[in-house]
Amino acid sequence: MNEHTGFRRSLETIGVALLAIFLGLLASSVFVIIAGSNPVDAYQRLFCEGFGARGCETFGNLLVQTVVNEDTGESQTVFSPLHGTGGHSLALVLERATPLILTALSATVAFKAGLFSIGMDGQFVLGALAAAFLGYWFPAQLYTLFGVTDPELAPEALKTIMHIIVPAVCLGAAMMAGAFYSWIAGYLKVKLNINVLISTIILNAIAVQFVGYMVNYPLRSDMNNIARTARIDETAWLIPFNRGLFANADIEWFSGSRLGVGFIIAVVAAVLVWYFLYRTTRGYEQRMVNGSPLFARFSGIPGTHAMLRAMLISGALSGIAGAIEVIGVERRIVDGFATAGTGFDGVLVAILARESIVGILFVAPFIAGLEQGAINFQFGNLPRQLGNIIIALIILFNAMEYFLRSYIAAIWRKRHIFSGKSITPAPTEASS
Amino acid sequence: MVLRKWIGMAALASSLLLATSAVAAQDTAYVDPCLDASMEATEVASPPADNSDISFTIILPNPRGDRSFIDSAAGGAERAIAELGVEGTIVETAGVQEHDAAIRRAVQDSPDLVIMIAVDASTIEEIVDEFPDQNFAAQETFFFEPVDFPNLALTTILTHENSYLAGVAAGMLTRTGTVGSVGGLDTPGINLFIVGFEEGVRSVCPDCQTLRSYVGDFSDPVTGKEQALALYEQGADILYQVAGRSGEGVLEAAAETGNFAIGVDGNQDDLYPGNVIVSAMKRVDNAVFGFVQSVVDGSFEGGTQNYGMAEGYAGLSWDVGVCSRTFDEYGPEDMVAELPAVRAAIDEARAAILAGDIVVTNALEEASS
Repeated sequence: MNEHTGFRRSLETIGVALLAIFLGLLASSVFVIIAGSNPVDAYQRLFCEGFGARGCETFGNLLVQTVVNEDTGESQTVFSPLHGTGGHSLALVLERATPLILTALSATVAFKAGLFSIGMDGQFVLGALAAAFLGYWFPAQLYTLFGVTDPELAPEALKTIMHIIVPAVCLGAAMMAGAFYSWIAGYLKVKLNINVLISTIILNAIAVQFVGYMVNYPLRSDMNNIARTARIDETAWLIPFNRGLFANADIEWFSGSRLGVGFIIAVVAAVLVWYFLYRTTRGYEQRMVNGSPLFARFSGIPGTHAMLRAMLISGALSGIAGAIEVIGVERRIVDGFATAGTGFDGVLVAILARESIVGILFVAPFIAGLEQGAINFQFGNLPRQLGNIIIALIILFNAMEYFLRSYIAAIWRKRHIFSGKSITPAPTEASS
Repeated sequence: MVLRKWIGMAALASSLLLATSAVAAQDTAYVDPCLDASMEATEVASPPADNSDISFTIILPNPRGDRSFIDSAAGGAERAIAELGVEGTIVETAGVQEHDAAIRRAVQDSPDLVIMIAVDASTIEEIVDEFPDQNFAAQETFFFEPVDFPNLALTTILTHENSYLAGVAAGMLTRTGTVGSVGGLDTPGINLFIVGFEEGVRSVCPDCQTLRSYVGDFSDPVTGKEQALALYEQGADILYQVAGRSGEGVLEAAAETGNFAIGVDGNQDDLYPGNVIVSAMKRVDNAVFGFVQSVVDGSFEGGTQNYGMAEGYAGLSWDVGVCSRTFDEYGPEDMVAELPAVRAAIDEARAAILAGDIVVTNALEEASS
């Protein structure tokens, strides 16, 4: 396989991923049939609900749809993702993918340095907590400082400045909270050689409980049935596209979704992480600590520094993810937010993307869309658990990368040598 | 042969005796409407009307299986589908983080009504405002400031009156003269139950002592159980739980110590048979059914409605329609013997409340005034 060019290699990776999805669907059809539905219908619904536009019924509708013009009564064929509110569910998918991208990047940075940290969940909720608190506390301090009694009447200039400062402070604080929390696990690893996997699992549990406590008691804003923090100030809000940037452009594409600046931050972060890992000396050091520890040591790379740096960056990324979820989407923390497990989904995305930055940008929306599709399964009167089973099987087959890769390689070799012998295992064996 | 004859005679005599005593009991005090055959005859299921052009979607705040209001709401939706013949979609979500997306997805299908159960008030306000052409209904949501959207029907079920009835039962059945309440949080919404309950207790047992404690959480059965044990220790023998899932700990404590408890929201009589006397039910199912019915009738209109016992949205698990008789079967004999008298007193109190002769304190109103 050494002669593989980069292009062919990535083609093969995509091929493996598609094959894995296909096998996952094949295997889950057993469960769909047990649940008494037609597998093809169920899959069409899963993907339509996840990625398709309104009225999407078949796989084909994901791309092309026939719509009836209400004024003229004529029906016309359109490219559905761009027609009217057609992109609505794509915007939703990207909204949900934003925290996944960031936590997956966080996991990738740690994995690349040979640290199997799964502390994204704890760092995520702590970052969210920091942003939720500063989101209403910091503007309130500023208003008092400038003698503004009613935020509604604050001078426009002050508001404009705050619109820039406050979100930045929230994001910065969340980064610091996440980085500090991740650093604890890194420090324990470097000084006491405590397994990062174990320490991060425990730290996650502590963070989730802590945030639950803070939301229920000290930061609880009112006696609402469900405990929640106060809503962040208007100036702390990372305003979604449909209200901010494109409010006047009247782009239906974003309507109903809270996709916003957070997504841009996530993409920029992906580029920065890629640049850091593959184009800087320190990123190289970090990869070498994992890839070739002996080489790293003999060439004088400070291993502990590289590890701690990786943990700090990883934590900061997860912290930003939490902050964006609060100041960009939810605008407050409601009890139950901490136990949702968004950070774990990020770890999953990182593993499925095989720690590739480009892969993460594709896998995160895919997983987000599938999860949305699974929830919306119920709108077709199918149980939502069925959707989750299908997702789980797709992920399972994706995790069998090496098996599938050798299978493809075997076919490839066979084609080249034209040997008559069959050495390929049947794909159905994989499902058992 | 002679022996068998004697046994036969004895059996005949005793059955006669039983029959007469039963007749006597019926004559003097109380006819149990649930055991009355004539009531059942009226419940002939009429074939469902065909309203398949009317559709609704109901968003549940958590998966089913809480043995409380979520199951109740889903039950109401299923009944509406079956009896009214409408198209209904029941959507379970896995928690607050999914509510918003699920509601928005429901709106995409433009059903005639989207029913939201226990969805956070701020989420509802935002979405209802954004989709003025879509009709919504909300239940189990508490708004701090009254809202008025033409496309949102909001129902609050007032439970002080049926809590009063549960209090009557507790006041008549207590041995120690001490009863208690375990609340989830010290909020007006919870005190609505507790104040009503305590008034009910005092109406039949003026010397009875009433205790209160608050768990501070609605999903902590362990603490709920600890607090219940403490109250039983202080001499209470009947506890009224108003604490959501924390309350399951209260019921468990009752079963463990051989004391008694009163369930809430759903029919919890069967959770610990013989220890749960009765449940003060919040008929979320009736509210959901009512929402759908209003769309079928064309009488749907936005605004806030308070419903309570008079409308059948709050009641006891003993009432006709639920007819839970678990305690009659499993409860201690001396208490079971008192039940007809208790039920008669409850019917009397209910009639007095509905007629306006008894006014039960509404803690929610007091808090907001």
